[in-house]
Amino acid sequence: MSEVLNIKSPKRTVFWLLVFLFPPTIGLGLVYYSAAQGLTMGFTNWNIISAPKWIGLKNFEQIWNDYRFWLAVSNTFFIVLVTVPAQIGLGLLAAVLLHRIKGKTSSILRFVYFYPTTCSVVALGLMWMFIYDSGGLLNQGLEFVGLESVRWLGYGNALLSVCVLIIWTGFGYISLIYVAGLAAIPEQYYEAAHLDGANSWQQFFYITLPMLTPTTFFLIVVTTIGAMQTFGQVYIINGRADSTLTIVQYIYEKAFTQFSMGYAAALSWILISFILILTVIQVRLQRYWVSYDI
Amino acid sequence: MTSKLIQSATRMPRDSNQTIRKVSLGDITANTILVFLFVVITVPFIWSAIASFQTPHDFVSGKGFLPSEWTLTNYKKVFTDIPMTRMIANGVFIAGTASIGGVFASAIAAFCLAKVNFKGRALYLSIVILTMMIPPAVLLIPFYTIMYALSLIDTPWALILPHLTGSAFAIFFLRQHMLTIPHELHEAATMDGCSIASILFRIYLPLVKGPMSVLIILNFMIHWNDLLGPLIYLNSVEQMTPTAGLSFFRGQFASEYPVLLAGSIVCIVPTTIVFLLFNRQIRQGLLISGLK
Repeated sequence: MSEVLNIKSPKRTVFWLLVFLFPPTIGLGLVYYSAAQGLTMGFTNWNIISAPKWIGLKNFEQIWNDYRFWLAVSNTFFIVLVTVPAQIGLGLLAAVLLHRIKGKTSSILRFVYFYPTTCSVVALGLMWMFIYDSGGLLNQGLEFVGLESVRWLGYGNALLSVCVLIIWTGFGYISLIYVAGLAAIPEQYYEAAHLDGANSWQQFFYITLPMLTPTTFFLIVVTTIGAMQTFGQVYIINGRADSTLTIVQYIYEKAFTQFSMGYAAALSWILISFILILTVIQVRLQRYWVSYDI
Repeated sequence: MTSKLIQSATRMPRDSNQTIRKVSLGDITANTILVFLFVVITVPFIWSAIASFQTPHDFVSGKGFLPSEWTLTNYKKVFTDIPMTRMIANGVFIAGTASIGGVFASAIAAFCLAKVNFKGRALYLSIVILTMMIPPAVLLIPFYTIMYALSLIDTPWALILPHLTGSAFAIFFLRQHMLTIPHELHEAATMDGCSIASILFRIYLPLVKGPMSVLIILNFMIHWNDLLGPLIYLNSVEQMTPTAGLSFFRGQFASEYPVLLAGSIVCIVPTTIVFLLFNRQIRQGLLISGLK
């Protein structure tokens, strides 16, 4: 272990080590204790004030028969199914187009596309709430071209409107990652393909896309996990309306407005299982389409 | 390659073969899409910024893009009817303390795990890394009960303390950086009889300033933009951060939209400044870490 300090005065070093590792050790203790507590809490009935009561699987039984839970599940999966492909598709498109132009324009555009990701979800949510408003920007535009206005946040439309906001916010981050991925593809591949007479489309489908599959895989996993936990956008835009209820929002509502801690803990375990299952499926499926060695 | 092709193509005379015209047509489509996306991203910001100077009456009547009368009342209301100054101070305090404290704690731990030899070091590191596997959603409720037991609910410390212990990712990230620093540096220092504390503070922390600042900037933005945490832990208006405060006042100002829009603009100004100042570090940090 030559890379490690050779200790001259062990006592002093032990003292400093204890001091230095004190905060992270407390943190580790907290995290593991909390994870264990979260696991057992799901099997109790607890309102935080009185002592928790062990009730076995009753919470899970109740969840199974809870129509709002199923509503939250279907809304959340809808958000995942719409926003993940759309964000990644749009992000890839933007990245490929940005890669064609170099220099200042490209970096300004990347900067602008990425900007919403850095903004508070609350601020963006409020802005879009008024864009979707009955007299908002979108309806003004529709009126301007002579179309009827739409209730963007009405029961049937609200969920899709939220998805649009999520896609609008997130695709810039994705294109940023893709631009880095594109820059890593060796130029020679394109030169060789060009000499063999491949056109731009062929080059895209036979070189660019396969070379980007590891990036795409990473982005699918990350954005799916993010979309499964959608909260801020729906909370701001639609308040507590059931049309856009998501799982995290339901957990929040149960735990911190009704103080059904046990029920909410059981819900969060279900959410985690969903995320885990999705991730495992994605990891399993990657060998069919992700190429790590070209 | 393609761009080179296009460059040479555009320089050629117009009446050459068809493929060249096809490529430049592709170029036009590409640029149109880029401009379209640019417009789609910027218009909501511009529109909100303009609307935040509108009178509520103007906004509701919704006639045209530009207000008939520019007014600062909305911004005044943000700072008088909503205690925004207080909220910004809370937000800066929470995000600043949590990010700076957390990254320093992580850097110190990373130093111990990278450069000091002690029994159980490898085990400690794997216990740290294992916490990255635990989803934050599991910890939400138990953490709340801990803060409740410590009676820290409705204080900024409920949001700060959990971060002051350092994060697994930051520890791992900074440890990797410290491993790349040659050990000749501290060998000389040890010869001179320096303690590991002075080696850490005089040699290693200055050398990982770059990665540390990337982490601090990213964490600052994440904490500033956080909604769920402040919503859970902060109940009284005086304790709220701008994000929680705006969502709290959303109902009260439901009929005065421009005030809420002005509040939103105020809320994104600090992160925008940070982003403009450090955009290279932020993008670089995001690329390395993949964290959002």
